[in-house]
Amino acid sequence: MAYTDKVLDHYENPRNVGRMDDDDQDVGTGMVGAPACGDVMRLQIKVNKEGVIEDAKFKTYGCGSAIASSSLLTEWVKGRTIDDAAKIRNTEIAQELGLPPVKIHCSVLAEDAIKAAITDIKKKRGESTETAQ
Amino acid sequence: MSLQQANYFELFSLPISFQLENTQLEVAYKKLQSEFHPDRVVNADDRTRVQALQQTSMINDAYVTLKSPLKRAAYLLKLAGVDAEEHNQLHLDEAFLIQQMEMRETLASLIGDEDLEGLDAMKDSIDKEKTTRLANFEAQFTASQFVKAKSIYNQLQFIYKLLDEIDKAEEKLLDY
Repeated sequence: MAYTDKVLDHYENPRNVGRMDDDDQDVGTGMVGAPACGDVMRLQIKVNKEGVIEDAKFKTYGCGSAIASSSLLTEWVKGRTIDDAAKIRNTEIAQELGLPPVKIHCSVLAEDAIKAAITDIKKKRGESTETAQ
Repeated sequence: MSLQQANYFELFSLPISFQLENTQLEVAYKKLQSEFHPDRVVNADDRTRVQALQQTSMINDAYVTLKSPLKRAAYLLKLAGVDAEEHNQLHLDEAFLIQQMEMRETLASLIGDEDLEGLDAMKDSIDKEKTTRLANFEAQFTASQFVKAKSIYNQLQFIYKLLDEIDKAEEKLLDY
C-alpha cells in the first residue's frame, strides 16, 4: 500500500523517539497495543506544575502508520495543557496524515496512548482521572 | 445440513473443541476437497459451477482457520458469540504490554548485533510462552470462561507477531 508523503516523512524521520524515566513524578506513561496487528506503543509526557506538556517521547513497534501517528502526536501535544491534549481525536491524526480506512486503527492507538499517559500523570498527582476523556 | 450452514468443525465432522487432531483434519479436508472439487462439475451449468467454486473456497477457509491454533481460537470465540477482534485498552494487561515492548527492544538489539544464537534463544523462550498460553486458552475456553479466554487470545496475537518478527529477522540475517 502506498503511504502518503506525510506518513513517509514521520516514518523515515520520526520525531521525539525515546524514553523518559517512568519513576519521575512529572512523567506520565501510556502503554497501549493493538492485538490484531501486534503493535505496541509507548507514549510519555513530561508535565509541569501548570499542567502544560513540556516534552513528549514515544517508541512504537508497528507499521509505518502507527509510527507516524505517534510521532505526529508527540509534536502536537508539546506546549498544550493535558486537558487540551486529551481532546485530540484520532480523526484529526488520520486526516493530517491522510491515512486510508484500513489504517484508521493506528490513529486510534495513538489517541489511546495519549489518554493513557494523561491518566497516568493524573494518578501520580492524586488527581481525579474522571475528566480525561 | 447444507455445506453453507455448517460451521467449520461440523464441516469436517470434528468436535467443537480447541483440541484438534491434525491428522483427522487433514483426512477430512482431503476427502471434502475431492468430493467438492470444481473439476467434477466442469461440464455442468453456470450455477452449479459457481456453487462448486464457493464450496471449495469455504472448505479451504475452514481448513486454514482450523489448522492454525491462533485462528482456531478466534473462530471458537466467534462461535461462542465473543468478538475476538474488538478490544478495549482497559482489557490489555499493562505488565504484559511493558514486557512486549521490552522484548521488541531486545529483538532490535539482537538484530543490530546480528546475533543469530541470541535470536534462536529468544525464539525458544517465546515459543514456550506460546505453548503455555495455548494450553491456558484451552482450559479457560473449555470452562466457558470466555472473557479470560479472549484476553489470552489477545496476548497470543502479540506473541505470534513477535515470533513472526524473529523469523523475518533470522531470514534476513541468513540472507534467504
